[in-house]
Amino acid sequence: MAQAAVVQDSHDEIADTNTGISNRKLLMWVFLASDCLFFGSFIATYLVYRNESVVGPYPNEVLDIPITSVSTFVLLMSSLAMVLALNYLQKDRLGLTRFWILAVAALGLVFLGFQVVEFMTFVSEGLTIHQNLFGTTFFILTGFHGLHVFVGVLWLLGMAFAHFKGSLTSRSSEDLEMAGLYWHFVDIVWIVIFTVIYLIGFSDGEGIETIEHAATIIGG
Amino acid sequence: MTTIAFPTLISRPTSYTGLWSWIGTVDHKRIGTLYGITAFLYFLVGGIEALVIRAQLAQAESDLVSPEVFNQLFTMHGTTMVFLVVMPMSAAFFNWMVPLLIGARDVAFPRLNAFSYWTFLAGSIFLNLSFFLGGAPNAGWFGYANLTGSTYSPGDGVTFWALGLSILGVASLAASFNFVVTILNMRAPGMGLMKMPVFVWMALVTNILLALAMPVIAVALVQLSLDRVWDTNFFNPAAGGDPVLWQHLFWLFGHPEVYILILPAMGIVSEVLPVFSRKPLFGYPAVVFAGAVIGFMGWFVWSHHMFTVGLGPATNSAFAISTMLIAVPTGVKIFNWIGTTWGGKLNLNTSMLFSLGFIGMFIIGGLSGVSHASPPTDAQQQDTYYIVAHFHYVLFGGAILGLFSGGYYWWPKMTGKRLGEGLGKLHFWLMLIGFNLTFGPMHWLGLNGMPRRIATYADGLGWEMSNAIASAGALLLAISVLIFIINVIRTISSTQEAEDDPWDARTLEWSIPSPPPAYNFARIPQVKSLDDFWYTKHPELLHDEQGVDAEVHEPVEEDTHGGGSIHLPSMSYYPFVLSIGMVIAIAGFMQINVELPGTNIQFPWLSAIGIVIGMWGLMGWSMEPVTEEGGH
Amino acid sequence: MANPISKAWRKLFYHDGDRYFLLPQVASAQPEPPNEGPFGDAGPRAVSWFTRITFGGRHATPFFYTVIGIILAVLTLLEVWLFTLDDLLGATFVPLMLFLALAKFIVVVAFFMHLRFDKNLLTLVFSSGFVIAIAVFMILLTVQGKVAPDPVIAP
Repeated sequence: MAQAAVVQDSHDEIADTNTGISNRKLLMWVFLASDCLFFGSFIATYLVYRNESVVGPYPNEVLDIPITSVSTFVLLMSSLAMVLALNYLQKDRLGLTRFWILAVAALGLVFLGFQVVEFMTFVSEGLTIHQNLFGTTFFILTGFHGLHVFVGVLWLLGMAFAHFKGSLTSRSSEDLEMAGLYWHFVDIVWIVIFTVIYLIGFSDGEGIETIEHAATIIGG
Repeated sequence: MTTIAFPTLISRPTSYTGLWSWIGTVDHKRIGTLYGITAFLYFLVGGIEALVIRAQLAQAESDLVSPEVFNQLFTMHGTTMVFLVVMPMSAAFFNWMVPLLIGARDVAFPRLNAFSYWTFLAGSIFLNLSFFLGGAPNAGWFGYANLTGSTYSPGDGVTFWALGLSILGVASLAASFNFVVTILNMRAPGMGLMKMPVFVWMALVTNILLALAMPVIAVALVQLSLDRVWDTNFFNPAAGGDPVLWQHLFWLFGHPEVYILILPAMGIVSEVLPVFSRKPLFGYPAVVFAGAVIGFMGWFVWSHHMFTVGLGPATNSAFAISTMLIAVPTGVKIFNWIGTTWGGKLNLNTSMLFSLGFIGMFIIGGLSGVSHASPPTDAQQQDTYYIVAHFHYVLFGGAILGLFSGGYYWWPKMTGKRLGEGLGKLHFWLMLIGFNLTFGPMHWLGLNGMPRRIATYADGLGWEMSNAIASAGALLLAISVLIFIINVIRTISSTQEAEDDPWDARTLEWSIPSPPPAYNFARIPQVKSLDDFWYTKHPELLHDEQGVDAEVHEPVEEDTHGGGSIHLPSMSYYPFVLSIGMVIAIAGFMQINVELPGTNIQFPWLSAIGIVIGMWGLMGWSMEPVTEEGGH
Repeated sequence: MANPISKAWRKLFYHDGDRYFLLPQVASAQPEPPNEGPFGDAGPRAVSWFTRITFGGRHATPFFYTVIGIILAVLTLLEVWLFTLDDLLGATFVPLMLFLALAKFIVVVAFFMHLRFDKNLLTLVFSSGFVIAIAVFMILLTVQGKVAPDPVIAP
């Protein structure tokens, strides 16, 4: 644990704030708290409209769990790469930092590729945003998530650019930390989406129905 | 931060005068002034809309305006007053006063602050352009689905409304993040959270509410816009869509929004009353705690706007209980304000009168509010003029009177001149009488069954007299606002200068010159207690009022930090560029004519241009340092 | 005094002259010196085993993060495996899935996003948004009849 030197707290500006947290970091967390409500609203909309589509295709006809499990794994691993990049940057191991930053961006692009293929497959199977409630809620929710991933990739490429220019060092590790926080948040949103929309959504509501059945019995 | 050479096409503004210095400004005081002027202009716009509405309703079977225009008027009146008057006017006070009250030189993110203002301005102009481009929105300020769908609102008005409010939402979000960080991080040394002025506390609660509530309405507006522009099914009953979902999402935002509107005014009143009662605020921790509790409980009452939807007895009962409970912290505040004035040496000047008026009118509005917390009563009152009377008593009698109180109180600090007391008192009394004449009779109208939002009504229903009184009262309100304008003009043209501390006040902003220099505090103050400036002036009162020994409180020992050269953030055009780009990008959804290959999705090409401009602004913003080397 | 409820009550509502609700305060107003162990600063710092293995208050090593990444991958595999058994699991399937998602969520937020190592205020800020989101949207889904059927009301 001796190598766990606290490099990041050596910023001059931090000493000036009341909370000991730099302004940017606090801003980022307030933004993430706010974004919880943003994605929460979309996920809640999806759940309100679950099993309410009047025409097909229905979730269990189009969702491809094996493929999406792979893309989920890719995004999860990009989060690991992200935290490693930051960790190496704080220790000024710049070669490894560059490798991991580019790895994150590449994994993000792979995830986006999966999503594009998925969307195109769904459209070819007749699921569009106009088709039914499932199409509308699914595409807009995952589309907004994909947009967040895309912005994250651009941000990381900007970071990589700054790295090549030599301006990204342990002194400015907070720049990368901000991008990292954003990236991890996009990842946890996907954790929720994968479980709620794909896994639970695919299982045609049997679980919910069973609960409803049990509740009816208990309720008399 | 290291500087990276970036091909900036525009160099930073350097002059501190002229138009460009205002466009490039990052000074929180200048941005506050811009917010204030803009909000007041919209107050006049919304007021004129209200006057036309009242002129139309002054007598039965009037045909001054067509029902179509009437719908646009009440929709835009509501939208303007909520989003373009009360919220930005509160933002003006946040901008001006929060850094001064906490002893800071600027907000945490000065350029983000400028971005908020320009986005707000562009969004508000976009929204009002609808009057000239095919008709204003006409579906009511809460735009219930599926009246807002393309089937029932075929024109562009509702699209303008949805996109315009989205833009305003971005502005509010950016501002709220900024102020939460500013208040938590930028306080003067020694100012713990429980030593902050109440206005700052209320600003903190308001901005947390904004940060968390705005995304919900943003999502609802995105869904509505996509329904209208891309033919999605969110609120399309033919595809199984549920219009009640819109109501849930809107009021999930809408109820915190109510507290977003009123809490800043409550904060202002909590500053004004102690100063003009010559007493410390009664029960400071209780006022703060009540404000925080209101902010939390405000999340769990939204369905009381939907009692008549038919959500079932269990839901209605639960929300009725939570709604009645939220009256408790509000009542705590009212008792604290009354306790503050109790036994004080009252100085009944204009600012104090507005604050006292606020308490009285807010009590009436609060009581009528509790009366429809009960679902059976609400079923009688829903969509009648009783509701109109209620929310005007809390939003006009509450928020607007509170904001005027703050205006009179802080005017000397902002401009260096005092607003005239004679005209000010006339303004207050005319406004109070006009206000009660306008909205008082609406209680009777509502209980007599007059529905809101009707363009005209038949003769002989017994509504003529009350409506005539209400319209006369509206005229009186207009005259009172006119007197305020005259007062402002006379004050600006007068040569009399205000002292630095004209009211013998309690908080830090009065310790610096009026108007404040660009850097606010030549030396950052060292805070030892609540109302630190007051006890610096009157150390002998410290023991009696705060229970702290006077010996502990030495004369202000000033920090030498920044005693030499003060580094202020440099001006920048990029926030302006970014907000213009963003507004074009969002406005681009109005006009669609490129089809994406392989799909039938229409691509808004104007948005692409906006995104390019926005990216330029963002790049420039992130590449330029906050403070230019060798800058001022 | 010793029981956790009265402790939490004191932390939330007692006023020690400077703060309420466990909110942060400025360094100059700190009443107690930081990192004080049972023997003052003489002995080793009192660190619980949980704090030790989760690197409380300090930065972790790449090895630690890799272990976390593997745990996350295993949890995801578990989810997908349980998914194939949804008929078998019946009514427990949905709660189980939500629990696993929440576990992954918390692991990422706590370790990858450093909330475990950072100031408590950040946890407060983020969890206020997260908890309010969960609360209001659960109420919304309940009201819309998506969590349990509407209660039967006698006519």
